[in-house]
Amino acid sequence: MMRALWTAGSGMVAQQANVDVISNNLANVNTTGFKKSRAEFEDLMYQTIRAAGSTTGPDSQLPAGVQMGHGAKLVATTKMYTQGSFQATGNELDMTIAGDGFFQITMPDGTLAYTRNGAFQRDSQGRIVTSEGYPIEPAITIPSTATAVMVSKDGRISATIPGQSTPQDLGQLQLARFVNPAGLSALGSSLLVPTAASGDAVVTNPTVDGAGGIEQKYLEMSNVQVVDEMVNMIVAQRAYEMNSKAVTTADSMLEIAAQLKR
Amino acid sequence: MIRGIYTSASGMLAETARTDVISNNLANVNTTGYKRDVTINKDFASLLMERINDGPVTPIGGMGVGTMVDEIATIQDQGAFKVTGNPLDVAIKGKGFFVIQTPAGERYTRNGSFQRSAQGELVTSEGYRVLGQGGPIQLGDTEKVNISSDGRVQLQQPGQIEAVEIGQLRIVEFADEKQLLKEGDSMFKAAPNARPQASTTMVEQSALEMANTNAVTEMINLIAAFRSYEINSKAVQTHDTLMGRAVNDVGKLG
Repeated sequence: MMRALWTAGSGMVAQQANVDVISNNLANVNTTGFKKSRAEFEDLMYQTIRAAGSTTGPDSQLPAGVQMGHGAKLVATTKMYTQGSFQATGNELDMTIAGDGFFQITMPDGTLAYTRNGAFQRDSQGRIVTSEGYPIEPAITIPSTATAVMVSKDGRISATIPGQSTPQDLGQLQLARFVNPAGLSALGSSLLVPTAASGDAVVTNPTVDGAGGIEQKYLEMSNVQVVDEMVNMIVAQRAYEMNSKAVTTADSMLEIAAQLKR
Repeated sequence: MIRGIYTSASGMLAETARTDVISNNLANVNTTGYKRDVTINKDFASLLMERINDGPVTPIGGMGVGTMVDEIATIQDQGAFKVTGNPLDVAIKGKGFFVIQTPAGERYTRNGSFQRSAQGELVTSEGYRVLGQGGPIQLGDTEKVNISSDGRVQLQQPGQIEAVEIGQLRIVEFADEKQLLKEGDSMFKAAPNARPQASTTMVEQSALEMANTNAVTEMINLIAAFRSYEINSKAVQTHDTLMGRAVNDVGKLG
C-alpha cells in the first residue's frame, strides 16, 4: 500500500498528542503552581533505498542517495519549570517559592511527593497540610491558641501565642531540589515524584543553593501563557489538517490505481 | 507488448514516491530542526531506435522509456525561530550542526531542544550527550546556565555575580551537506568520507529552530504529484484500450 498513508497518519497522531498537551496546559491555566508541558517531536526512521556514496562506476560515486522518511513521533512531553507569576492572597498559610525547589509532602503511604503548590491549610490537629490533607515534611503543627503564623524567607515558621511576648518557633520548612526537574513524574493533584531521570531529591533550607526563598501570603500561579498556547493550538490544528490532506491524496491515488484494471 | 504502458507506470511510481516524501515533510511540520526533502526524478537512459527493415540499418533517434526517483535531496535552509524562554533550548543561526554522542558514534542535529540529565549533563530528548569542544558538557545542578552567541556555556552559582565558563558547544559544518544521511530521531549521520569542520556559526539561547517545511509549497507539490499520477494513470488506460483493440478487433472477421 502507499507509504504516504501511514506517514501522514503518523503526523496526524503526533499533532493530536500536541493538541492534548496544549489542552492540558489550558485546562490548568488557573492551577496554582502548575508548570506547563511542551510536546516535542522527532522524525521517524528512514529507509535507505539507494545509499549516497555507493559506487556507480570505476571512479564515480552517487553524490546523493534516496532516503524515504516514515513520518513523525512524539518523543517527549517536557515540563517547563519557569517561574509562574505571583498572586497576593493575604492568607497566612499560602506560600510561594521564589526560585527553584519544591515543597515536600508526606503521602498517605509514607513516601514523599513534591509540589510547587503552596496553598496550605491547617487540619484538625493543627498540622500544615495540602488541600488533600497530606502533611508537609518536616511536619509542623500550629498550636490551637495561635493568633498568627509567620513564615520567614528562609523557611522558619513561628506563631504568635496570646500572652507570650515573643513568637513561638514552630519549625523549619525544607525544600527539595532536583538536578533535572523535567524528569519528575506528575501524579496529578499538583504532586510530582522523582524518577531515575530526575535524580534524587537534594533537601536544603530555603534560600540555600538556589532553592529559593519563601514568600508568605503569596501563591505561584501557573506559568501557562494563554497567547502562546492559543498560537500553538492553531499551528497544531493546521498541521493536523495538512496531514489529513496528504492522507486523502494518498487514498485517491490508491483509488486510481485500483481503477486501472477495468 | 506496448512499451508505453511501462513508461506510464514508471511515472505513477515516481509520483507515489514524491507523495511519500511530501507526506513526511507534512508529518514533520512541527518537528524541531527538521529539514525538508525533495525528490529529484530522472529519465531512464533513452533507447536509440534503429530502422531495420527496407535497406541498411539507420538510426532514427532516441525514445524515452520512463522516469525514476534519482535522488531525495535534503534542503538545509534555515528554519524559522521560536522563542521558548527555556534556558536549555539552543537554535543555530546559519550553517552548522550540534554534535551528539550516541552509542553508534557521533551524530549531527539541528534540534537544540536539550535537557539536563539526572547526572547534570547536557543531553538530547533521547538522553544522548551533547558534545562540547572538550567532550560532554557537565552542567551540575544548582546553577543558572548562560549560553553565549558563540556557544560558550557559562554557569552562574546562586548568589554569585561571576559566571564560570565550563565549555563551548561543538558546532560543525560540512563542505558538502549532501554527505549527511538522515537517520531519524532528528539526527544526521555523516558519510565515511565527509569530514566535519569546526564552525563559527552563532547560536541563540532560549530559542528553537522550527522545521523548514513550507506549508504552501508542500500543499502545491501534493496537488501537482496527485495530478501527475492521475494523468499517468490515464495514459496506462489508453495503452490498455489500444491493446484491447489489437487483441479483440484486429483479427475479427466479418
